[in-house]
Amino acid sequence: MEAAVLQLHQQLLRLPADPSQLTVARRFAEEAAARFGLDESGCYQFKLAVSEAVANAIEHGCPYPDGTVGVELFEEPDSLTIEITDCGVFTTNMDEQGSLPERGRGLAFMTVFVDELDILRGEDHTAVRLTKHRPA
Amino acid sequence: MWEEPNAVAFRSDSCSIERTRDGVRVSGELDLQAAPALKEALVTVIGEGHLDVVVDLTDVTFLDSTALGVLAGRYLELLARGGSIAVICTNPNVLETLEIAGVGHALRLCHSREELTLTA
Repeated sequence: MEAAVLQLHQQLLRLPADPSQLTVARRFAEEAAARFGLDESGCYQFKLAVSEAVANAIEHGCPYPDGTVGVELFEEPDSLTIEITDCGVFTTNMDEQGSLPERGRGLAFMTVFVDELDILRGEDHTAVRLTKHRPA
Repeated sequence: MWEEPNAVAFRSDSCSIERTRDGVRVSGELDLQAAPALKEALVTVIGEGHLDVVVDLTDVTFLDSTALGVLAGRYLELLARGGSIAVICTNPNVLETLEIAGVGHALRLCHSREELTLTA
């Protein structure tokens, strides 16, 4: 029964590329992290990294023809991954200089708050994979 | 000019921003959607001549890099004028974010308005 229940969890979201959808992405990530068994701080970190990646896709990416970006969940026994996809070429706001730039921290936040960060660049799409390992 | 107490500057399903006497008070989740309104509200506060600005994040449960950038930007503006920005925050996750981003030293972090008054 438990396996059947688990399969009911939605694994793929297609979110309209609009900042108002960030709360949906965060709830999706937080619920997945809680099911996976991360503690409260780990859930928050995963949620923050996912929110940054989706915000980046919305702001700098290019949505699918239907106006959405993809948020897909992969649950493995020892790891939890969310992949954010769009049709753009990966870029972040990294052009500002100085010790306290106003923009350009999104990628740093993703790097700090998950265990693995992979950016896969295809010809016509970008995927950002964020992974948390199961705590020992 | 700000006259009405705690006038609402922004409201969405997940976030609200109110003006206060010397800054803003935010509730909910501060992200890419709310960050432009936070910036506008703080620019207005600074434009009115406030030098020591208070950002009350007591009821903030989430803060992303764009909101953090808005705070960093206003800190630099105020620093150039000889002012400061104080942030009231108790949420451990939000505090961790501020510390990891390296702005803990720049923003005056306090847990309450009382603590802010004591350290002024």
